Amino acid sequence: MILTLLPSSWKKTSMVLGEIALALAAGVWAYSIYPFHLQLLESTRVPFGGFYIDGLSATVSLTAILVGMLVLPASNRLKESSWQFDFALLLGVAGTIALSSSTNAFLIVAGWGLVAVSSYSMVSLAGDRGSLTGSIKYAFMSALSFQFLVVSIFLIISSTSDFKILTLGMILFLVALGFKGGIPPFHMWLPDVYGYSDPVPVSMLSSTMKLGALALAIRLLDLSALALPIAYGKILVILLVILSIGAMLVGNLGGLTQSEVQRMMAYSSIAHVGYMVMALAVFTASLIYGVPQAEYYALVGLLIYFASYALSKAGVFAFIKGAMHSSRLTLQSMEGLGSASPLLSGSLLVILLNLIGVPPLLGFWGKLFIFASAANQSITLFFIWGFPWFTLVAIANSALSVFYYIRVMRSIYLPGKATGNFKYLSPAILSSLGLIILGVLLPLLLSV
Amino acid sequence: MSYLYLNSIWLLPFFGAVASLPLGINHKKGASLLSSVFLAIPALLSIYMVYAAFSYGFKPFITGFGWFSFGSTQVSVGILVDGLSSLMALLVAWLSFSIAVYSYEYMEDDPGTHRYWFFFDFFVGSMLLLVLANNLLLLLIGWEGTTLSSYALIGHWYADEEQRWVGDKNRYALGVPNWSTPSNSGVRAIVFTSFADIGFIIGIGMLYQVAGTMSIYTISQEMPLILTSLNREGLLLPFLFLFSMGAFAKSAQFPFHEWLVTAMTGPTSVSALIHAATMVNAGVYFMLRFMPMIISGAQSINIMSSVAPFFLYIAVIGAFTAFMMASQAFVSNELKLILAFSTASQLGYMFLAVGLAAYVTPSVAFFSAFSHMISQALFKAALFLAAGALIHEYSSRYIKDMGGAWHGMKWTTIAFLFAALSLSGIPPFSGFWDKDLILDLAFQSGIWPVYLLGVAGAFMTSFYIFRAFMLAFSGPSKKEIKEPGHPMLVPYLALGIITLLFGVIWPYPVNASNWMYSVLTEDSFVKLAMPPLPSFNVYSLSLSLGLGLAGLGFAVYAYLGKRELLDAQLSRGGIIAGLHSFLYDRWYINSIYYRLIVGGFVDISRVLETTETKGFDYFYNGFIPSALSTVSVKLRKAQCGSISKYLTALFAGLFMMMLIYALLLILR
Repeated sequence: MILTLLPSSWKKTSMVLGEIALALAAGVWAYSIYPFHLQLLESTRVPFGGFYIDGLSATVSLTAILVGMLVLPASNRLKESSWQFDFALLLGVAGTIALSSSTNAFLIVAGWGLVAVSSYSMVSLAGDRGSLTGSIKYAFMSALSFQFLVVSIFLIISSTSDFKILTLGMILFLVALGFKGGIPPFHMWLPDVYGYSDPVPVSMLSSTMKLGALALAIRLLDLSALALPIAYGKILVILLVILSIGAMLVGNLGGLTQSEVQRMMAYSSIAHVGYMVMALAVFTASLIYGVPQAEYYALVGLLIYFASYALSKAGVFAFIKGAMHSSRLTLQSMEGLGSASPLLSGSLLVILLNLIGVPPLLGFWGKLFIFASAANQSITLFFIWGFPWFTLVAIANSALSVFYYIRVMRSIYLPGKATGNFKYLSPAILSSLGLIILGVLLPLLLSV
Repeated sequence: MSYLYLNSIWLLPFFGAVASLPLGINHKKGASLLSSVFLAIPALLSIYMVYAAFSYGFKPFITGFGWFSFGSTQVSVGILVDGLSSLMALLVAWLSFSIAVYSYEYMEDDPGTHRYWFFFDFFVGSMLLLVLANNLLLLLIGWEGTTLSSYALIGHWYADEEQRWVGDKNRYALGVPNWSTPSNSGVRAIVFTSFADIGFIIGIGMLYQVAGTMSIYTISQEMPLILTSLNREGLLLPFLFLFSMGAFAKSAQFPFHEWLVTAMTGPTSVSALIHAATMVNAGVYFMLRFMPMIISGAQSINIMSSVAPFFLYIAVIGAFTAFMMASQAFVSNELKLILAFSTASQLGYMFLAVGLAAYVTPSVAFFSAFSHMISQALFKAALFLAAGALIHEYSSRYIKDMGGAWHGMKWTTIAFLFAALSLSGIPPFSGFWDKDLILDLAFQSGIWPVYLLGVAGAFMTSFYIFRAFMLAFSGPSKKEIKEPGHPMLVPYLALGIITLLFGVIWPYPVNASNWMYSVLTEDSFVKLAMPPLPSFNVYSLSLSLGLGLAGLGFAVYAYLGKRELLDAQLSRGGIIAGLHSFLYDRWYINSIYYRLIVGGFVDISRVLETTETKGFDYFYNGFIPSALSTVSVKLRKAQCGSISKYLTALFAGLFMMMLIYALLLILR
């Protein structure tokens, strides 16, 4: 499972070896969850020395592996030293797998560290000025948040009977999560890093590096919500709600008037994390109120959302890499790509639609489950005068996001003279087909 | 033996419509022939249908096939054959066929014949469906079908050339134009009739709700129960008013009469068919179909006194319309307009007769309405078709431009004369018998205002039609004119002769009138008392006959030779001139409608438009985008690039969360 570290010094070989390693990891995962089919969620846990194999970890790990496989070839597009990039990427995947599967404190810290270091090294390895400045900012803030993480884990573990300490620990953890995931007001690095670095590492960053943190969040919230008395639990929920709404608003409003595509996508990442935190909030609330229905839906929705979000973001940033020539890619410079590269532009179209949440794509199902879970009548916190206001806010934000996605779609299909170089990038972009297929098959699978 | 094939009577014209449309674009004459053939077959079949009805003793029978079911009702497509429907179908089918023959020549130079024939056949199919329908839904479909084709045919010359207008250009009444173009008239027709159809549909809904069925036969059987439950809810009178509202509009009774006037923008053959002989009779058919049921039902449960106000309303409206429209025909300058007013006026007499059913012997009243309907269909069609020939020859719709037609168009003169005499109620023509029967009934009922209006109308009727006759036919000839060809001439000449024949055989015991009378009342499902036809009251007879002759004589005197005399006197000023304008501008009713209703709606729509554009539109497309963009721009300014500021923000977030935590702890 963690056997993914086989780098080598030659460019192409490292890529090939990396792919093989990831494929092996995927195979091992598939083998290990086989006996349980797809019925797993967190409920059935098979303890393995602090290492859980359940629906959560399977989803996150497989997603991370898959996206890693998609992005790996893109390392050839970097200016120099691609094998280190592959190394860092694989490390990051390993860290994500560790984060999503463990509740052992040391493993958590180690995993988080792996993810953090690999993240900013990937960015810096790209070599250009924007990436270098981005990686420095990222590294600084990452260091700080790492400390927050360590402290919070310590607090959580050592709080056996003291609720206040547990809550404090959770809050600090939320700060760390906020940093990693890009939740306001901890998100300040994100538009700069995602927006100005080389898109290749960003595509890996934005898609998978968050997933580990969020998976960890689920486990911690699961534990603490059950351990805390209701009053404290509600505080947590309220905080999560505030964070979620903040993320949605900042993300969507910030992206509204952007003309640089990469920065726009950065803001969109923030918004999407907002929806994911919404699922976290609902999950916690449902545990506190004792509503298994909502808990199930929130969790399933979140997992689907992980997969769809990761695939989409990988594809989007890969596309941006292919479409940009000099430095900044603006809406105007994208005009004409529709006719120049019809297949890939069509894939981007599908990916953007998936981010908006259009059925029958995968993203729709994720949003549906998450929004619907928040509208559960038993969770009274989310209801004012009978209206599930939280769901309504999320829907409104989702509608708001349509605007800037459509602008991108529109500018691709306007007549123009842009062309793109999509070598090695097509796997990521073509992952859109995976989104369609998964989206259509999902209802069938779920009903089984 | 199954009479299912009799359904083809109403189906075939629809096929003809569809078949002739593609043909009509290139082969005009072929399309005309094809359409006419598809009308000839129903005409022949209708004769057979009357025979079939006869063999059933004119008891109603239904033949059809199931269509769909909703709820627990099975809606079927089929026909109800009894005395009333078979005779009406006979009338409609033959008139349609003869007018189709007329149209063959009349429309031959027209560029839009394919449209014409399509809607012509569509109309005939709808009308036959309406008359023969065995359930309310089918009747409604036929009803609306006639509305649609009427709209299309009135607006046939949609390019609105001035010669196709009705009314005087540049004449305004109370600020509203006196003239109307074909496209405008088409819209008016559809608006007036559809507006009233709202009431009709509500009525059907109420009936269905109470009766639980759409079948006319079943409704007639259950009428006492229906009336009882409606009366219990206090909804009886509203129901009656709403249900018959459509009929009032279709037959151009006040206040829905305006559309018929401007409907004269259509081709004359259309005017003859739709607006004289068939469609406007649909309202009368409706009355004849349903009012007997209501009367007999009300009689059986003794609530005649609750129902009587409604019938009084019908009688008053009918009489008033008869009077009002005749007064407008009095001064009109266009030949077709005179005839249009005349149609509405005669329909008023029919409605008067129906309304009197609550005050005299019902069966006699209904019979008189039916008989007058047939007479009016015959002579009015003849008049219109002849008018079409005249207008075509003189290339003008104004009677002032005509004159001396006697010299060149002898047969037309004879046909017009016969029809005019029938309209005026001069024996031995058919119009005499039934108009006098109606006036006689009015006299008997004791409702004086209604009688007086009817009598005054009779005087005006003979005056205006002979005014038209004298102005058009007598005097020196203004142009070289000749008789139209056979396809045009034969139909109206035949109709003129038939109206004479019909009148001749009317009074004899073993004959048309008694036979129709028995047919009608035997009809069924309505057990009305059937005394023998009364002999005429001498006083009223002589009064109406005298007035008719007086009107005739007056007109002849006024217009023989001294053509312009009367009209010149009228326009000289003073009260007479004011009265003249009042009548000429259609009692200003059109103007009132326009200023009040149309103007009112225009004002409302203007207000709504402002609300929409300045309100909603601006809000969604102006206000919200600009507000959000401003927020967005301000938000982005926070990204300043300095790490220290970012770290500060992080700590700020941390403290904020701590603060919230503390606050919530205190509050809980």
